[in-house]
Order: sequence, then C-alpha cells, then structure tokens
Amino acid sequence: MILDWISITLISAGMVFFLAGTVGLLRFPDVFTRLHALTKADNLGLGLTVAGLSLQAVNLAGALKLVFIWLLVLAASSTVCYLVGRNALRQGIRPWEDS
Amino acid sequence: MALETVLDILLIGTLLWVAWRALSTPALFKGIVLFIAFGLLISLAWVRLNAADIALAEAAIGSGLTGALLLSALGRMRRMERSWREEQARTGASIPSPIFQVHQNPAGGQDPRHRLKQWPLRILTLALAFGLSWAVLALPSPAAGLSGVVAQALAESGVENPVTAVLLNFRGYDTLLEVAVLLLAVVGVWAFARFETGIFYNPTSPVLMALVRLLLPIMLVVAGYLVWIGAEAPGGAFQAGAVLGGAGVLWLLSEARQSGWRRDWLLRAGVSLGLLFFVGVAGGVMVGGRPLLSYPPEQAKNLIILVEVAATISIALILASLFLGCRPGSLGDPLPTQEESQEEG
Repeated sequence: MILDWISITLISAGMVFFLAGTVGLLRFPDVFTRLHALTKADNLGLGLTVAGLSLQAVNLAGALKLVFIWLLVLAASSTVCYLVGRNALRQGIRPWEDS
Repeated sequence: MALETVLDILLIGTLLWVAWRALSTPALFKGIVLFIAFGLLISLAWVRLNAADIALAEAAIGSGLTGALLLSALGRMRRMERSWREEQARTGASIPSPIFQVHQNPAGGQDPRHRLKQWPLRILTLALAFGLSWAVLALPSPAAGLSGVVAQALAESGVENPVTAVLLNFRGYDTLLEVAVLLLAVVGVWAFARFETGIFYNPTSPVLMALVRLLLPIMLVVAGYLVWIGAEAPGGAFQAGAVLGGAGVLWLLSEARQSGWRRDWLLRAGVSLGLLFFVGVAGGVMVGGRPLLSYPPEQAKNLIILVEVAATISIALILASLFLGCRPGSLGDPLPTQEESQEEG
C-alpha cells in the first residue's frame, strides 16, 4: 500500500517534468532552447516514471529491465539532441538573442 | 474499471486527432513525425487489446522503420528538388519537375476543383469508418473466436505461445506468403532504383559512432532474444527482424559507406534466405507423405526455430535494403546528374 503511494508520487513527479518539457517544446523561441526542454523530459521525467514503475515490478529482473530502458533512452536521446543541435548550427540557425 | 475506460477514451481521442493532423498538415516533415507518433499510439492501443506481439511489431516496423523510410524519402525528395532548382536557375530553361506536383494553381494556392473532388472521397471514407465500427460493435462479446481451438491444439504445435503457433505452424502458409511479399518488395525497389547511392553521406560525428558502437551489440542481443522468446512469450521473427533491421539502418547511417557493402551476392543470398528456408521446410515435411507445412509434432519446435531465425535474417536485410534504396553492390558510386537520370528513365 505504501509502495503504491510512493509509486504514484514518483510517477506524478515524472509527469510534471514531461509537462514542463512539452510546454517548453511549444513555447520556447528556437531549436536550442527546445532541445534543452526536451532533454529535461527525457532525463528526469522518464527517470522518475521508471523509478515509480520499478517499485511495481514483479521481480528484480523486471525493475532492472525498466532501468535499462531508461539508460538506453538517455543514450539515444542525448545523441539525437547533439546531432540536431549540430545540424541546426550547420544550417546557420543562430541561437535566439534577447533583443 | 472506470480508470481504464478513461484511458481508452483518451487514447482513442488522441489517435483520431494525431491521425487528422498527420494527414492535414502541409508540412511533410511534420506529417512524418506525427505519423511516427501515431504508430506508437497504435501500439499502445494494441497493448490495451492484449495483443503484445502486434504491439511489438507495430512499434518496430510500423512506427520505427516506416518512419525512417519516409524520412529518407523526404530527404531524397528535398535533394532532387534543390538540384532541380539549381539546374533551372543555371540553364534558365524550364525543365519538368522531378517531383510530381499536383494541384498547383499557377496563380498560387490550391486548385478549387481539387477541394470539390475531395468530398466524395471524404464521405466514402467516413461511411467505411462507420460501417467498420458498427460491424465490430455488433460482434458478440466476449468474442468466441478460435482461441479455444488453438489452446487445445497447442500441445502438438511445438511452442507455447499461441500467436507463434498460429503464425508459424497452423497458418504457416500465410507467413510464408508474407515473407515472399517482403522479398518481392525489395526486388521491386531494386528493379526501379534510379539511385546509384543509397543514402547521402553525412559527415559523421564521434558521438554518433559511440552511440552506434553501444547500441549495435545491444540490438543484436535483443533481436536474438526476441526470436528465441517468441516460442513462449510475445516475440517472434518479424519483431526480431525489425529490431535487427533497425540496427542495420543505424549501421548504414554511421560510417558503413567506408566499410563498403560490395559483396552483393551475400546481400541477395541473405534476403532470400528466409523464403528459401521456409519453402524448404514446408516442402521437406512432405517427404514423409504429409501435406504441405504440417510439421511432425516431435520436430515442430526445431523446424519453427530454424524457419524463424532464417526469416529474421532475411527481414532485417530486407528492411535495411529498403532504407538504403539502391541496388546491391552500388554503395559508394557517385550520384548521377539530372541529365543522366533523365536519359535512363
């Protein structure tokens, strides 16, 4: 029972980060700031969700599989973020300036 | 129960909305990204319907690999359009556009007659959607189906997963034809390939190479696991082949060009491997006087694993070849200019 409440708290915290990431994606002015917002969603949002879900896992193997998924998403999304940022710089998109 | 209903309603609403946005947006890249998101939501819907094998296949093939194919097609289209524009600017002549432009009003904007022609199509599609929904809702629930019959015959199929038993044993003929269709698809792409290079050389970065070096062994292990576990749990040849195909796409996007993929007989053998093994097994069991594709129950598991492994390799090579787009053995040749490709085709 207490485990369920901890799971709910962790997953809700993860959802807050996902919401923040989505709002950032929609509202930020340029590519680089949007990437910054998205990585918050990936890192902490997914991490907290995985932490909450792994408490509900059937056995340790299931929980470790979830953590492994989170690590894979971290690796893939950070590389993709870097590639998108590098491509944007190559295409001449300059970072947004507060003018 | 109410929470699940709310989740289902949210999922259905999101599906419809994403589908509409994917089709109605004029920006092609946005449409492709929304299509990929739609594929992932559909695989969620399959999970809600308790069809984990289909959810795996949808996420891997329908969403992942098809998204990669669409994105590579879009990149190719952009390149063709840009070289056409440069050609036109350079020569000043009016060359017909390589991309078939429809509904372009010379005055700008969309052709009004096209909008009108859309309406019968919209009405017919809506009628089809309503008809299908009505048919599905009119089915008896809980649906009897064939799950009872399959459960009874599961013991002699050689596997414990009823989906794999149906796909590879009871209805193996359908899967045989599916593998043949995949082979035909890649043969068709090769027959019509106008491009001498598959993908465009992107200066690779050490970060991408590091990720590829990390992910490729993991994807190989996951693919092997999916093939093996398909006998007892959701998995199987198509899902494993899709993961392996994704690994192939990842490898192609890194510095595969330098390593050279010129042994084209190997590629051709690889893509036909699945069909050959399947047909071989299907015909081979006829030697004992049995009908086509009826495995002897004590050998069934071995034969199924053999066919699945061969099919996995084939599916992976086929999907990676579809992404590459060019004929085998031609990786690394220079891109033909506009005149050359117009002379050919």
